[in-house]
Amino acid sequence: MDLFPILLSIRVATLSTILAGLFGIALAWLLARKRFPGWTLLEAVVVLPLILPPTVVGFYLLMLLGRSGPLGAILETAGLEIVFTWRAAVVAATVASLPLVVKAAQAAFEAVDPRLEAAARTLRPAASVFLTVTLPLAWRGILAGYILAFARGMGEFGITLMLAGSIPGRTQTLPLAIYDAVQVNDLAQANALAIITIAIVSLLLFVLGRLPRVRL
Amino acid sequence: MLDFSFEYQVDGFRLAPALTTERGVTALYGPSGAGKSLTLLCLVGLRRPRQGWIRLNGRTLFDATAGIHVPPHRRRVGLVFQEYALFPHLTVTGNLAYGLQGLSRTEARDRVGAMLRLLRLEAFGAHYPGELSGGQRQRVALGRGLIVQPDLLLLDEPFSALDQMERERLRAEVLELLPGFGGTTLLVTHSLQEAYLMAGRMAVIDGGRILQAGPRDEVLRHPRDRRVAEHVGASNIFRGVVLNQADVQGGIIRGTAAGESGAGGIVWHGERLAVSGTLPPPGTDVEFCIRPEDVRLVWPERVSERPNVIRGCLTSEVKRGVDYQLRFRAEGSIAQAGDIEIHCSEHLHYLMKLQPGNQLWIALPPDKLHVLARVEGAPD
Repeated sequence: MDLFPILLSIRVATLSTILAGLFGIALAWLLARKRFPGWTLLEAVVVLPLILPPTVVGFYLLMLLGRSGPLGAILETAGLEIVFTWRAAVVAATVASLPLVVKAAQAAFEAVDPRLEAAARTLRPAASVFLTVTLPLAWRGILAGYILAFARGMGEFGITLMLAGSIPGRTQTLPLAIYDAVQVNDLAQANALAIITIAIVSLLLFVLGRLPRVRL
Repeated sequence: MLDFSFEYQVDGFRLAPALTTERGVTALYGPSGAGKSLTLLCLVGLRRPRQGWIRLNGRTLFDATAGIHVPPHRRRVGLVFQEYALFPHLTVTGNLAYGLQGLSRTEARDRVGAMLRLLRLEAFGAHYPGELSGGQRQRVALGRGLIVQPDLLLLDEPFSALDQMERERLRAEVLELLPGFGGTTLLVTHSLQEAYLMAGRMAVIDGGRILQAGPRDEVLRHPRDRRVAEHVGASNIFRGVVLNQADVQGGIIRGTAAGESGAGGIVWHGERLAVSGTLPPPGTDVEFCIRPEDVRLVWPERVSERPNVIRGCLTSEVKRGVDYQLRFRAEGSIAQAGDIEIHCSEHLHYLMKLQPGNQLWIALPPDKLHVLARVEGAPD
């Protein structure tokens, strides 16, 4: 059995979770704790990938990151090719999972009593307060967001197909491989890949349920 | 010494408090929405005023013109919230040690140990806040603020979330701990009783401004104007005209005994009232007040001995635990002034056999009558 789609999907989901995790935490904190012009717009834009059809999101990412696209041209001169490489799959999974991280982390940050942060700020610098009070109190919600993001990264199909294609051995992720297997009527292969996917996602859900609670 | 004057604007609310206060406890007293908590947030540095300055023991914490805005953790200002805001994921020791980052491990441990002893929490160092009683949590919150030896301690309505008994116990505990702290304490409260009990000085705040500040009894007895008088419970507020000094020849209501020599007077609905203390020039239209507990009930046989005696009847009474709140309506022209509120002890109430409908005499002692300044910007 070809293990490539499995390994690629795990790699893509891991990298996209890290990327969406970093951007998502920053965005979530901004949305939860700050009010600024454009706040409403930002909150709406962040959830767009969740609402729009994946093909639409994929189409615009293709326009943006393609060779003639504004960002794609810049990246190409920097020697970074995105579209139809495995990196495109990472971008697709990151965009798809960002709203999940932001929504989960935003709710988690909002649940932290601002007075705890205020009391902490009189004793330590802002960065330290974020690391020692805000994050520890919000981490359970944030981690739940990460696990959802990882699962989304494992399962991403539409945006990936538009942006990375389905090139066997290069950009074909697990969901695309299952689709491909069904197309050529290789049901045994599709079944094996599907079971592996279920196993990985089940493991994640198990971990999610076992996260210790913070004592309150 | 804490000294500030600044301006901060938020959602149409203009906060512009100014205060100079000394070591010891000062109550920042005012109704909800007066700007008390926002003032604290500005003092601590979590909000940045648009204008003005904040100075603490000669250090400038904020100065808009000079562009100085010291970050909160460098201000040496402690903050204790209502419901304490302890870090739920840290132990008592962790909470206390939170502000001791710059110290060596042994020094921090010594300080935490000393604070645990002071708070009588030696046995609870490893406990989490969720495992403590309300009183213990409060002590930890206070300890967390005090352990860094701040110059200023801000207490934001620390007792308002508690029931009566717990509140009184914790007030006593805080009063016990505070003298060991040599700095300035600002206690935010909307309870006059709490302000009276806890603080030697008082600043009355409303509408984003400090209306009056000074020693507690000075503010309570001599409110500057009508607004302060209403806030501090000097609820009998009347209007009159200052009398010519020459006319005050024993010129007292109902032909009773002469007023103190040198006392001025006020014409009050056609009657003359003796008032000690300085008065504005004769003919000035003034507002004056007297606290309900300062109104004297007079035994009939003593009427001739007292100045400013008024006859009237009791219209209502409310028993409030150990004292009574009475309403009194004067006879004759003074009735136009409206009812006079009187607080009297249960004991006196019993001795005088008071009940609504009773005829009786009251006296307004000249030294308890206080003339108010005109509220700035108020219509005539």
